[in-house]
Amino acid sequence: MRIIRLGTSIRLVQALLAATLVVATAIPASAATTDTLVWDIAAGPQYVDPVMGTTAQANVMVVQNVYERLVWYDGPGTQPIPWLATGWEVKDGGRRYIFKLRKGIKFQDGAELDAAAVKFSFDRAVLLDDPTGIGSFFPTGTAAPGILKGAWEFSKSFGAGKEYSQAAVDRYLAAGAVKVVDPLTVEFNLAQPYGAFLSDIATFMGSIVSPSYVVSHWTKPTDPARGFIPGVTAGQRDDWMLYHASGTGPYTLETFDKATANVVLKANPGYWGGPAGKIKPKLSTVIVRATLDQATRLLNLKSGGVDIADISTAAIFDVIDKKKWLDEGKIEPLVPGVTVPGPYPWLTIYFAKMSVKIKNPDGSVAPFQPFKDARVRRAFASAIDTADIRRNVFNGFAEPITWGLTPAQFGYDPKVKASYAFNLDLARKLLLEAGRDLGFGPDHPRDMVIIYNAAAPWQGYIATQVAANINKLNVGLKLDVKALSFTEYVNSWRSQLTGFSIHSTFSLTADPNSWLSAFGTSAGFWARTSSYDNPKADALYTKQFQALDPKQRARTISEMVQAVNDDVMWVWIGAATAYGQPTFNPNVLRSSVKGFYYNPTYQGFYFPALWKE
Amino acid sequence: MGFLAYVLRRLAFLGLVLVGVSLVVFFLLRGMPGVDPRAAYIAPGLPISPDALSALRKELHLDEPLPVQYAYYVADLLRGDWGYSRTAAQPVLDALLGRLPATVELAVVAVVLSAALGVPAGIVAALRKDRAADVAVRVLSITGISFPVFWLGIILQLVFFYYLGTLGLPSLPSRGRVGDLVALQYPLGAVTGFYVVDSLVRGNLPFLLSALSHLVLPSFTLSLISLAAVVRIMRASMLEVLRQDYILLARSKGLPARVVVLRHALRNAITPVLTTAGTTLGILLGGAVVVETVFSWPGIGRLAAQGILNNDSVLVVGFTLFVATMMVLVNLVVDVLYAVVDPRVRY
Repeated sequence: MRIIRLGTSIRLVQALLAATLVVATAIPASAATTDTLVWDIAAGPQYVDPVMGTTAQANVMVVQNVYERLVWYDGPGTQPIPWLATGWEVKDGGRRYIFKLRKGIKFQDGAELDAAAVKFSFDRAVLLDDPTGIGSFFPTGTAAPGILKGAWEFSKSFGAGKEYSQAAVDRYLAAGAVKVVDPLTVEFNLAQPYGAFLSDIATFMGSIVSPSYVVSHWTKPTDPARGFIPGVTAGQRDDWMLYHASGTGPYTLETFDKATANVVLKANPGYWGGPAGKIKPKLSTVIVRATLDQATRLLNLKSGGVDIADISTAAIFDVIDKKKWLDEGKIEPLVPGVTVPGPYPWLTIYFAKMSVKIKNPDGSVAPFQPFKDARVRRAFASAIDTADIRRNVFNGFAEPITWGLTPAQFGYDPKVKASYAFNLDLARKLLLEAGRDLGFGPDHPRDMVIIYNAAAPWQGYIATQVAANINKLNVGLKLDVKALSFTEYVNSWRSQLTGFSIHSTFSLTADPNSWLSAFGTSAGFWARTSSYDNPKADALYTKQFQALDPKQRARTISEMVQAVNDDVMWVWIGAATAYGQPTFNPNVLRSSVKGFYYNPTYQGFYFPALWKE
Repeated sequence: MGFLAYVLRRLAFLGLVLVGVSLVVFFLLRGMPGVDPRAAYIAPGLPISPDALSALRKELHLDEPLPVQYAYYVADLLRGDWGYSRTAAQPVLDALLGRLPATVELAVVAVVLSAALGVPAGIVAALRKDRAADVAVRVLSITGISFPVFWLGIILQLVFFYYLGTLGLPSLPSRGRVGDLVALQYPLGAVTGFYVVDSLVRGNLPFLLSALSHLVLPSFTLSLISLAAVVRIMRASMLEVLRQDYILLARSKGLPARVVVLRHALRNAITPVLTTAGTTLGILLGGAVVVETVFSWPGIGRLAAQGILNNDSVLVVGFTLFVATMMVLVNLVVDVLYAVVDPRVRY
């Protein structure tokens, strides 16, 4: 037998290393060419079917480049303009919208865009009935019934008692939500007037898909109890369309690797050019790579291996000068060849909520309800130093807000009065007064718990600050801070087992309807989990919902948010500001990337705007 | 006891272990006090109606007693229904199986690397016992395992990707399984999901070279987890063997030292290392979470990390069950192979 030499294995490893090093140089770096853009994104897309609801903005990033909508946004503008449509008419007091379509636009599979395709796309969204899809986003907000005629009855807002029979499908179709008037005219019939209709169909949910493409990859259901239209099985996810796409957009989805969550987009050679006919993708290939680790993304960006990298605000001082930003408000990149555009108003807010009906674990109502007393709510709100939080937790990338809308949203009104300010003296006075009625005081203190998600240290900072500030007031409330696992945390505030909790939320649209509903109406998501009920706000919500005149709607929104503000149910810690064009994380660019503009309604980049030098 | 009986006994034991694992996993998902199991199925931040919550309660059989819920859970597992992952937008089992080849490829290369580095180092340490080389090997191996893997991974990226690259020297890739442009220009028709194997089968040289270059940093980082163990076991085993009479005999016959060490000592000393390597493979399959995350390696570990970040507990629990099952299976295979390889082992 041949004798193994002692150093053989080491030399083998050395040889392997040398070979791979040589190979590494022989293969071009990813971002080496000017017609290819590489983006290291923190979290890649999960699926790209526009009728599937999502909290993953990377999904929308792909959808907004591959698909198009009847109306969309021109450059940095946040008011929808005609896109696949040439225009629209509103009739019957806002219950009927008639869109004229552009002629000659083709889907990426070669089929022609027509009114039937628009009808198919919206019917598909309703009938497929993703539990977090059209029911929750279209219309935005849950306080309003489904807006397309017959959609609510079919979907029942993803509640119990669903029926996916052919009879149910036929009932929806008979309601005439979307009608083909002629090949280039399509009519939408709404259950009631809806002021945010255009904004809603401008979101990813309003994307127009190629019917022929969908149908060609669809299998008719074998279960006779399951209703369908050709291409759509009622209440059933379309597994093919999760990872494939055919729209009219400037890019085609070349590959979507489920395992890596990487996507490759290719310029659509037959793109029609957009409303002004001037949009022509300059980048032939866009590679979006899911790179979980921030340090890796940063190294790749610094090396020039990628053109764009997601860098969270927690790590932004690796890229920009901390002192200049925090003291002078100037963004000055530290890394040569890197630009950090911004800051821009974004669609994310940070807030704390208080429950007026704290419950015991068995579901019964707890005897001690401090937040039922407006003085306690105002005192807690006054004990939070939001300026300190914005600077030290969000590294200055958040701005003060007086209500839960960001300056990027329609209806944001800087004149809405805040109902509190950081003032510990006032907090002490209010708590001493309230304590006399609620049975606590310096001589007979009561314990309270503030919870936060252990995986979100920023919440911990805020919780600790609140507890420390209240405890040092010596008013008879002894606050303890408790870090919970995510599921415990969610369960605790959803079930109102705790009175005070800290949150963030984001919106996929610049229209405020979803947040107005969530915070201001008794059926809204955040209000419901705080047992908040203000009939005046409910009425104003409905009024703004149905308002078609933007000025009148904006006035109603201001009135509504002031009414809710006066109740001090929410502590608005700040509205996040962005740099780059964020998906979940903001991002920074190599200076060689040109053409960038910011639009808060975009989820990630609109690639046709970009080119490389 | 015969060999077959031994295997059957082990298989029965395997069943018991899996029941135990599934119980632990089930209670992690359902039985934690104060936690509503439905929270795991609802995307945070998305509105959900009270009706939908009631429907979910029924669907998950939460209105039944815990033992009945467990029975449903096991029945689902056996049917291959491990739940649906919001993160992967796939059934959990499909998502895990689809990503398994990437993890296995990485773990196998890591084990090979740790053996290739650890065995010679252990031999040197044993031959130079208590001398400078021995101390150096021991210190280095312990130091290697003492550094957190994520830190070491980043340092390796910094040196071999960033610094070498910025100096214009040949550098290694920082992330992924294959170069993006290579994958586009030389697409690989997947056969097994193991890139090295597939590119060899397809004769796709650019893909093979790119895949190899992408394997270097993550597999080396991962190999460090087991390297110290290999070195220490090899050293101890070698020392033990070197004390045996037949080594003394070989030396007294005047055989060259190299022949004594490699032909007589190594072949007898290496069995414990091989056993360890097998077990280590199981550990690495589950322990690749950090390395896969740092190097964006699309295996089951990175998927689990994404699941954790997305609070997708259905996926995380599925991953736990999957890794535990793999660990048990790998152990079984190693034990059976041990019996086959070493004729002294009797059952």
